[in-house]
Amino acid sequence: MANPPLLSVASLNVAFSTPQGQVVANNHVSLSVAANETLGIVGESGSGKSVLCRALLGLLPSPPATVSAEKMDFAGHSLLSLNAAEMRAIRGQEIAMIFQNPMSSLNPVWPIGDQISESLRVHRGVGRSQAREAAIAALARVGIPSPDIRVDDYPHQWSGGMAQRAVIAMAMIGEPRLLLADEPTTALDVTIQDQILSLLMQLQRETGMAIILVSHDMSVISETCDRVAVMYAGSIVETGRTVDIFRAPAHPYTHGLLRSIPHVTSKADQLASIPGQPPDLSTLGPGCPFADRCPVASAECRVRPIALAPIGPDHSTACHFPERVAGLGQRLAS
Amino acid sequence: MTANPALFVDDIVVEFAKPRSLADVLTGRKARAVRAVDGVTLAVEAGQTLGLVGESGSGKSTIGRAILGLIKPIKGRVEFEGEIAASRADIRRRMQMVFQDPYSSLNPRLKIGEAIAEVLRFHRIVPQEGVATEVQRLLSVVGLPGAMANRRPRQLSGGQRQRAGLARALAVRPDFLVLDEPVAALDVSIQAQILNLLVDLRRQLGLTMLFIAHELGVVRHMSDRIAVMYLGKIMEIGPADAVFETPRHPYTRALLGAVPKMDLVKRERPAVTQGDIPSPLNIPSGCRFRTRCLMARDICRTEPPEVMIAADHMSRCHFVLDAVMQAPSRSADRHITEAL
Amino acid sequence: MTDVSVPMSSSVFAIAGGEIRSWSPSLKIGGAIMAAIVMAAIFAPWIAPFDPNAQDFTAILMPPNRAHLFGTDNLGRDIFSRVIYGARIDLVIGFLTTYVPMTYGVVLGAYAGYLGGRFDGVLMRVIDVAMAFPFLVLIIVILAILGPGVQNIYIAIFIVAWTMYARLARAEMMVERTKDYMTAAEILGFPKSRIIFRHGLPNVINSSIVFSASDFVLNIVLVSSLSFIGLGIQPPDPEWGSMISEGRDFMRQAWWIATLPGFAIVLTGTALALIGDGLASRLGERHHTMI
Repeated sequence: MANPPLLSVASLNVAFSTPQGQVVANNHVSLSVAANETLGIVGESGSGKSVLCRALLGLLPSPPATVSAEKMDFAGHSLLSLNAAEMRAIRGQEIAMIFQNPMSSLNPVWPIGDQISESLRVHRGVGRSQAREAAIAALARVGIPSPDIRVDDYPHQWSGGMAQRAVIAMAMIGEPRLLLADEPTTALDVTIQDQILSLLMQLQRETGMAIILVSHDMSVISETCDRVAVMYAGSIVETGRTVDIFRAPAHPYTHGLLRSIPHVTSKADQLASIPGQPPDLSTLGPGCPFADRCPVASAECRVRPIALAPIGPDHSTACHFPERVAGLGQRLAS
Repeated sequence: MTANPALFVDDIVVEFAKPRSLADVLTGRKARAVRAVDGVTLAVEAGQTLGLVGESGSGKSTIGRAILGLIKPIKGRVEFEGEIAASRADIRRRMQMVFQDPYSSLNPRLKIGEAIAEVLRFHRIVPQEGVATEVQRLLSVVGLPGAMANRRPRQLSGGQRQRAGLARALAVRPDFLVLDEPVAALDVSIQAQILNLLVDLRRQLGLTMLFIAHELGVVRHMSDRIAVMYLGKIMEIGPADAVFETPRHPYTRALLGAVPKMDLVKRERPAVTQGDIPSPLNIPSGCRFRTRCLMARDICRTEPPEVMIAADHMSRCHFVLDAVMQAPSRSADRHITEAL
Repeated sequence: MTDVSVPMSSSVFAIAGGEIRSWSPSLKIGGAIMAAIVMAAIFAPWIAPFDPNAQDFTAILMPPNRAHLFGTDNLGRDIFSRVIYGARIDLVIGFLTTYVPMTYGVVLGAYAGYLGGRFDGVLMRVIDVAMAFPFLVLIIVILAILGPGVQNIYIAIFIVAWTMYARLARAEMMVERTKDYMTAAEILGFPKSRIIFRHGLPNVINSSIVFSASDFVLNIVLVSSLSFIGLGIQPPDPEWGSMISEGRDFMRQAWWIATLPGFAIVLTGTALALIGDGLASRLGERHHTMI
């Protein structure tokens, strides 16, 4: 990693108390991201990736969630020691977040311009007309045509793609140093997703912000992220540079994911699939959560707790036997 | 293509009337209609799978429902094995559907076994004594343990529900399946399981399929032929390999260019299209893709012709035979971008 | 890829299937009270110490004491026994006036919601007209035509009370109709009537069931009110409302005659409200998101 980390999280734990008992949504999650860098978090349902984003921003209501971490530092300050007011100041300014469904991220009864400039008016006390100018500029920056007219539109008048651009404009207006993007293109058409991803990369080049991009789509991750963390059932099972992880995955789950995706560019007869389904988080055993579905698991895997261990410079895996992954057959040809 | 395809859709047009708002009534505006499907003709050979791709507003889901008789087209007809499907309930029964949303495709109040048994009993597929056995057989065909018959949908995962829905559809012994985004709502690791299952079943049962999806990789995996739709019309249709490796329509090229590749290079390129997909209420005149096409010229304001690139490969564009379009996909995209 | 939504038990039958441990406090308390009231009604002959109609002129207007738990009225009748036996009458009234209109109301609404078109249009206009009049006024008008008495009260309510259920079922059906399993039933070749009854109805009665809990007690109050003004249950039957009416004249010297039956109505109403509340949160929790 070239730059010093902007966000550094060590051993983040998030648990929910539910009628069925304690559910551990994030289990000793550690990650870091530097300025100008994009960290991808890839995982399926139950992986805990969305909970992770919300935990970083303190958005989880405290019962039923319990959040604890050894370290959660942002730009040199510990996020853990902030009170509610200080956290609010960081949210929307230093750290911004965009979500999957743009239509539910926007308030349907407010004009778009007002929603974009609200952050400025609240956090920086900017006046009305100045804030409106800033909103117009923000819309122009994210590629909305005729922003001076469209700034007064209501969300329902806009398509999904344009609405997501508006959401990005809202996020960018505070000039954040870190952008959390939780499945930002999942609900969008392919050509629109293409536009939004290019926009995000362009904004990163212009501002040097760090991005944490959460997605279930490996191909999106491969095109936009410098580094990746693969999550399964609440734990990070592998992390490292995108190139390394995709070329030589060191965890059976990552390997399985990569091989189960049908590619546009080629046609295979049978897709390699991972048998079974993601586990119920309330009934996890002490060992590796992937053991039941793992093609190379042994008895030890079910009992010995997992922890990320480095297997190369900037490549770590939580698999107890990463050497077995190499024998699993052809990985992603690149 | 033989003279007798299993499914033949002839110039179907489907419109949805947009109800007049109060303002429209007061100003005397006529009711507008959305043309979700604007003259689509396609054919599927027995045992083959036609993949239908498109984005929002393409009409791909509407065509699937029109084929099954859920929506009445205002023009055109659907023939299955030579008979007009709309007139024959027994023919329609041989055409079934697999749905996208695993959480609404099963009746929450019925146990899985009950839902399947109901189909068997109502249509007398097997005699009364044989129903329970047939239910078990269907469950095993789709890879579900027999005990699932006593579970309710809420106790099943997304992938399991899709299998259950498939079992229910197969109970009626269909020959033709419309699959409307069957794996879009599933986790990637489950998606592959279901796709493999569909491939197996197709082979075992000789099913003819219409596979509707927005994920190009998935469509390619499942389809023998592919039709690319945009705003209600087919832009390109042909063998899957030909369409995806040597696409001959700017929209197909745009779709393929827009799909993120696993080439492990952090993208610096701009997007392959500009602007939003037009609303089906305001379809552009002439070639409907011209508002976003990087190759658009004046001639595009007139309806482009259907050009046959090969006996089984058609593209609807003025420039199909241009050199740019004949080049392999990636380099052509660069030419197109540079040409502007 | 969206959040994983796991629909929770969405039908009252599944709840009744024995998951009592997971009932909310509202449901437990309401259920317990209601069960007690029903038990009292069923075992009235064993619980009530006196014949409810037995007059005892040596014991008129007695305040609550050990012999007469709720005191006696101006004819020496034991109020406690009358309240217990009154439960029989009021529970039956509540049951019939609520659940009979509910059956055809829900069916009509379900048909309208599924079919749309003209049937729906006509039904909605009928409902609009019926609901434009205050319920009580309509009942009284019908009773004026038919004459007072319990039978006619039932008739009047049967004519009018179904509209709310029709509306609720129609609204739910309009949502349910868009769900894929309904489309699947159509593609599988099932006739519309089967789809509406077998597939649709069980999934659209939830809001009607929740509503019926409050409707039950409102109907009891309605009949009690009608009895109060002399249009309903005739004396000497121990219906709670007519007991209140009879006790009105004695409020000064024997408050227990009117108040304690009123209390019974309040208790029943509270129990039903708690049940309705518990059912509403239970049935309304159609989805809960997982991580």
